[in-house]
Amino acid sequence: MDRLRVLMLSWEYPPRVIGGLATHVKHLTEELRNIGVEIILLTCNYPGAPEMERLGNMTVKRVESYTAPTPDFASWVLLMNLNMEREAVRSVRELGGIDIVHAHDWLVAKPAISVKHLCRVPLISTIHSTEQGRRRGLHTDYQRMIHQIEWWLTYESWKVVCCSNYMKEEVTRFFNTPSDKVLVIPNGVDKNQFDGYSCPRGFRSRYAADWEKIILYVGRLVPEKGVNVLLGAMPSVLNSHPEAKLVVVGEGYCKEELMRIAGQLGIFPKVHFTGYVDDETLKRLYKCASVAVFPSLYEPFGIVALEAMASGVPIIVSDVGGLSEIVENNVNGLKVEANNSDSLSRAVAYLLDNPDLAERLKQNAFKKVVEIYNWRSIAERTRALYLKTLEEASGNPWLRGRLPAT
Amino acid sequence: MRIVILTAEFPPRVVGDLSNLVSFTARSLSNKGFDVNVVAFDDWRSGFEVKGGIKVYYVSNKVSSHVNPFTWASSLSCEYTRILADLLWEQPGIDIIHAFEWSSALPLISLREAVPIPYVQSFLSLEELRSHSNLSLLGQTIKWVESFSASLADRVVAHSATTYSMIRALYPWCVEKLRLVDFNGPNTVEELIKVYKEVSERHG
Repeated sequence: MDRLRVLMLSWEYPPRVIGGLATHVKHLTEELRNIGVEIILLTCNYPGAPEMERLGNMTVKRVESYTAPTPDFASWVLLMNLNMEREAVRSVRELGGIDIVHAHDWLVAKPAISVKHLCRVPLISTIHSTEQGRRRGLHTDYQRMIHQIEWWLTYESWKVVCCSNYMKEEVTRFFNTPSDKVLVIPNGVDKNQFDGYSCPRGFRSRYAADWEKIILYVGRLVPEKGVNVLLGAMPSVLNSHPEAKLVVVGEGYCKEELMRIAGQLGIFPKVHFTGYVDDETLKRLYKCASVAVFPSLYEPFGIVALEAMASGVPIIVSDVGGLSEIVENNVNGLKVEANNSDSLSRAVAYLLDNPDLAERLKQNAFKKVVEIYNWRSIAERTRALYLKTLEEASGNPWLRGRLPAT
Repeated sequence: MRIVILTAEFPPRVVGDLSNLVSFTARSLSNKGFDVNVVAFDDWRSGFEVKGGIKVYYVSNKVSSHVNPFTWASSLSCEYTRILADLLWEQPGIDIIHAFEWSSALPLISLREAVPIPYVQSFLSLEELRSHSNLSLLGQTIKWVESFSASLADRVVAHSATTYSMIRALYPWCVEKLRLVDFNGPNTVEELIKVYKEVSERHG
């Protein structure tokens, strides 16, 4: 076959970064184009970002998504989808055809499904997380609607990609998706992204005193991330290790509540809420940290844990979801019981008391990042999936790969 | 002439006047020798049937929980697209696509980019007329869809004098392509056929 042409849809792509999806799509597309896959990526527009960008054999098109008024987020998504669908069809027409349409999450389900039927191409979807998992159940019509859109996307997909076995199990259970339709391709991390970064004293002093050891949390401040569990562990940690200082990086609607909890626990002076920080600052913070903690209650994958592993900081994670699959206890990190502050405080104290262990954990962690979680191998597995899908679909008379003639 | 009608109401699903209007239009066109295909929403039916010479394709919404009519219409629009795509691939040669009301207009927004088939957009009413909360964010979203679909259509058809006047007032830019085909008038179908012919001739 000539060059593989993939129409990829994602509502996030740098510089528009909301969660881990933007980073995932950026690295995946970078490596896919390095191995010869032609990509048309459609994403939302962003102030200052060009409407269209040509990056080697990839074209990024940012569609209008802000002008029309909408009553809620889901309506905004579906209205944005109209513009995305329109641009998708326009792109296929300009290109003459495509081989695969690849959608990331429910936020682009509608244009992906429409393009699948209009152009009669196989649809591949990546489900990064589920509404039922994020919300610990389905409690409102709004959540049920998103859940059903997620189901619909998996139903319409030729193959569904999940980033961990945990997510595969969740997708097959929540959506009754046949397990042979769901594949696990993990997230990755750029092992070189921390090269050249260090922890200058002047920078460090903005977050902690010279004698303090930084315990770092990075992530959104939302209930499923379990930051309240980490705060709950701190009084006990500080009792045995007064040199500990917790630095919480990220934003979220629970921030004020978490600050109030820190005050109630009497540890406010020992917790620094940085809010959102830029990429440079974050990389330096990793370099300054003695330990990074990810106490999630729900975590489909846990890309921040991989970043910490790549940065060379020892990690402690809760034994849930994708985190549980990345970390092998006492080999490349420590695992603690989820939602258990006592378990977490003991692990933090244990790691601070054992620098040799910390050194061994971080070396093993970096080795795992290099061997398994590198974007080149993830892109190769993704391309292999595209090719296998096309091979499976090849005898199907339904398949066309272009727009219908009139 | 082969017409594809998109509608959210078609008997036996009767919610308001739309069902009667589409049914009457389809029947009359079929009686005059048109090849009429109706793609109709119905939560309790699926598949295809021929009713009095009219080919009816029923679609249901794959997403059953919704927070407002716009989210409902948006997810439903994919099913309209699926049927339209099947028709385009399997039985090419559609002369006109005719969408009734904003709720059936959504698939046309992208389909316009895909195939150059003439598109007629009908309005029995407008959000401005029917909703006391048309200034709410939801009302504005629906008005945006109405306006956008009117801008894309080759002809915009108002089915009452009130709707006609309101479209003229709200969207003066579409006056040239606006036509009044009064649902209660004596020559409803003849006037509609005239609109179809205008559009067909324009598209060659």
